[in-house]
Amino acid sequence: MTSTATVARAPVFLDGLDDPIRGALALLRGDGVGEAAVLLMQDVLARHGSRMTPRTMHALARHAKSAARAGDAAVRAERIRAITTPAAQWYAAAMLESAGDFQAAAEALDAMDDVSWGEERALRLEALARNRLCAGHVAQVWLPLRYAAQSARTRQTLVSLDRLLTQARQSAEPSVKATRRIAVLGGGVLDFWAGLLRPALFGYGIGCEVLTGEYDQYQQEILDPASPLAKFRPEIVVLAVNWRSLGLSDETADPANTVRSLIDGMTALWRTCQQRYGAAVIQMNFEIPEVDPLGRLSAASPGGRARVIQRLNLELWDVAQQAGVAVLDVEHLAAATGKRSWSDPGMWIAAKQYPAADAVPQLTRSLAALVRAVCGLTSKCAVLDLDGTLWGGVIGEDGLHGIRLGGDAEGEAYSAFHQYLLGLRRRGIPLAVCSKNNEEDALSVFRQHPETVLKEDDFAVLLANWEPKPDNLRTIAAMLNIGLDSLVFLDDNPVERNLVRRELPEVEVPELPDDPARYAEALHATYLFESLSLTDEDRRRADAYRENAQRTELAAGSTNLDDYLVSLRMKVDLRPFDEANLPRIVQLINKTNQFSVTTRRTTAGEVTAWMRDPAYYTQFMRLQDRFGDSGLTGVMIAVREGETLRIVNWLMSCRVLGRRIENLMLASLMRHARRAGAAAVIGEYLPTAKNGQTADLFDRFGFERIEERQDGGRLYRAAVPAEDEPVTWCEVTDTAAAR
Amino acid sequence: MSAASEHSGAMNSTDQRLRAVFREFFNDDSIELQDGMTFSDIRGWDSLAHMNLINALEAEFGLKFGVRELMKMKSVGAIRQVLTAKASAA
Repeated sequence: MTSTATVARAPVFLDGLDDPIRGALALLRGDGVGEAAVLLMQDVLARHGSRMTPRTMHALARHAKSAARAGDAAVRAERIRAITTPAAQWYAAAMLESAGDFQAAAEALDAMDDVSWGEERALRLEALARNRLCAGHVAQVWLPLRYAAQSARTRQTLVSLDRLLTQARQSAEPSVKATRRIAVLGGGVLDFWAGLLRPALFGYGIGCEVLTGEYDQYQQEILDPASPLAKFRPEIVVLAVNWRSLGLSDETADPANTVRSLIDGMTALWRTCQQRYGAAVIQMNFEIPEVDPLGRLSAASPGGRARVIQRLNLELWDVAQQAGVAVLDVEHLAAATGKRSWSDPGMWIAAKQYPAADAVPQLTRSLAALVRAVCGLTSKCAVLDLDGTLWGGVIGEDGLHGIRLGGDAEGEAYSAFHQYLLGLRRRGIPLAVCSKNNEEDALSVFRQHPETVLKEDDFAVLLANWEPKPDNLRTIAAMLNIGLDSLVFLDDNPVERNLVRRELPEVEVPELPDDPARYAEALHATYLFESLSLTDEDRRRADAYRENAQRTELAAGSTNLDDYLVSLRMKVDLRPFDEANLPRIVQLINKTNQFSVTTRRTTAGEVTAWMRDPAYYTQFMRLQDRFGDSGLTGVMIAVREGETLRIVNWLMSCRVLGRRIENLMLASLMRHARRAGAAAVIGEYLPTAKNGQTADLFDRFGFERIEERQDGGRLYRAAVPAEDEPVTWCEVTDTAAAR
Repeated sequence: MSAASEHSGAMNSTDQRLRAVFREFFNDDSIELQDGMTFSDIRGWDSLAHMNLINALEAEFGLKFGVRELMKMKSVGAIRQVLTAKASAA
């Protein structure tokens, strides 16, 4: 038992410690029951409880658990709850949980100040989800669980979240944006981290089943048609081979050939995965180990291990791009984590763990982001608050010369963030503003501030007003014609962030740190804009969104659609698929969700096969008008089946909708059908959560419904018309029909 | 459940934390640790769970184990010994 005398002297002693709360717990050992102990805890929680480290949180939870066993935990918890610091709330919630009052525990956790982030935030949200589950409110478990998975920084917490997710799924299924069967194959004991893809993906709102391969058996698993992999029917295969499996010596005699044969080995496996399973492939590239007998000369010597791996990684980017395989940049992740933290030589030797436990969340998060990109769910737009996010201070109060932007160190931090955002815009992520401000105040910065990097024209939509932010976010999504779940909202104010999360859980709302110098890093680390490739269309896209806003204005001034379309002076180019446009075609097929009749995803290999197969009709569409070039924004694929041509895929980017381009695309197919002597065209509609706007597309074109399935899917048929309808409202070039 | 057994004073702080890690890890609050216990004595303690347990211990005690220690840590007694040795060395 802790004596009252010890406890009475404790505060002075504790104040000198780095972590007074853990100091108090050590002093009390298991005792949290006696009056003196309770008083000490109250004192230390009140005076030192505004910040907690994850270790403090674990220690508090454990102590609360043993203290709660002594009975009347509820009464003591109420006394602790009267102290408003986060640590006291956390401690009280843990006591309530141990006493079985999950409802009250959940309330305490929900009411905690939400200024924490990273691991602390993950622990709080995990506890919230757990208590809600125990209290029987399974419907309210998913969001905290998802946010916890986004914030988790330790493997331990991911393991707990994985358990909790599994447990919750026994009573209900969460709604997710996609589900995938993912096989993780390669070297090392993959069980150590592969299952943690489940919580990591859930953090992005994606469900999955994971199959983990045996240690270094990936070649056999892929090639053997009777392996568990074949039964699993993977939709995504992750090849997680680490540098040790490459078998490189310190100096390789014939580096060019060695790299070639390693690449050949990998591409052969990719092909099997793509062809046999129709799976998308994610290949991890290779860490250049820090420790090498050649030292820095390992990179200088032609056959040095570091140089060979560099060469291999470089080659891998190109080969993978051609093959439609996504590369996970492990070398970059290892460097970003710090190579001494990324791997643990002892754990490799003793247990074949790679990477180190502490690096697992990094790996699973970035892999999950790449899976998200493979699913076509990459976020599309960055929406920014202004005061405190794009500059220091408040423009409405401090004025144009009072805000911090450029100039001093704080201002330079905001300028650097502008630069990063401008980079996002250049690669095709449109920027928008959603801020509580007078519009003229907001505009004055982008028009007149001498140090602003971002200008008015850099924003696709700029909403500075006094409407609630969720309303403005809805408007932005509608104006850009993208889903709310494609928006990323950045705001320095945690209250606004939580408001948006509560009202619009679809919108991604990353945590931002206090320090503006770290905004870009925080945004980067969410990997929300991770995408598979970068095409010229991407680089133009942010402009395209602006041009669309201009078109909307023109439309408002036109009295009817025909006049409007004519006034756009459109030029439409319909062409058969070719090598040069292959990456963009694959990208468009894999990410289009709204105007898409079947939403069948594909690979570069499959598209190449269609290009060469005479039974296939392929068409892509390019569009230009007086405001700009929209680029390659439409794709149609059909296959000859006897007397008919069946439409396999038909999709258009949402930024060219409402301009009757679909009429032109279908007319080209009909022309082709007529030339090829087909009697009819078969259309197919497969419903998804997002393609409702094409549900009656074939009906509108006069197709006849010939089959309606339970799942809402339909088959249509239309006879091939004897001649084309004249097009008066734009200029069309069609070289696709003749193929 | 008696409060007395919780606070008997016979266990030192390392023992208590070790037991707490085991109880949390195997999700069983009735676990009492004895030095002779090995993989077969606790349900779910297999080789993968063992690495997870080691990972949990590293997190709880804020330390990293070396290969010699990893080799030794195959029973509760051995784990306790390694932890105690590390704690007194620190």
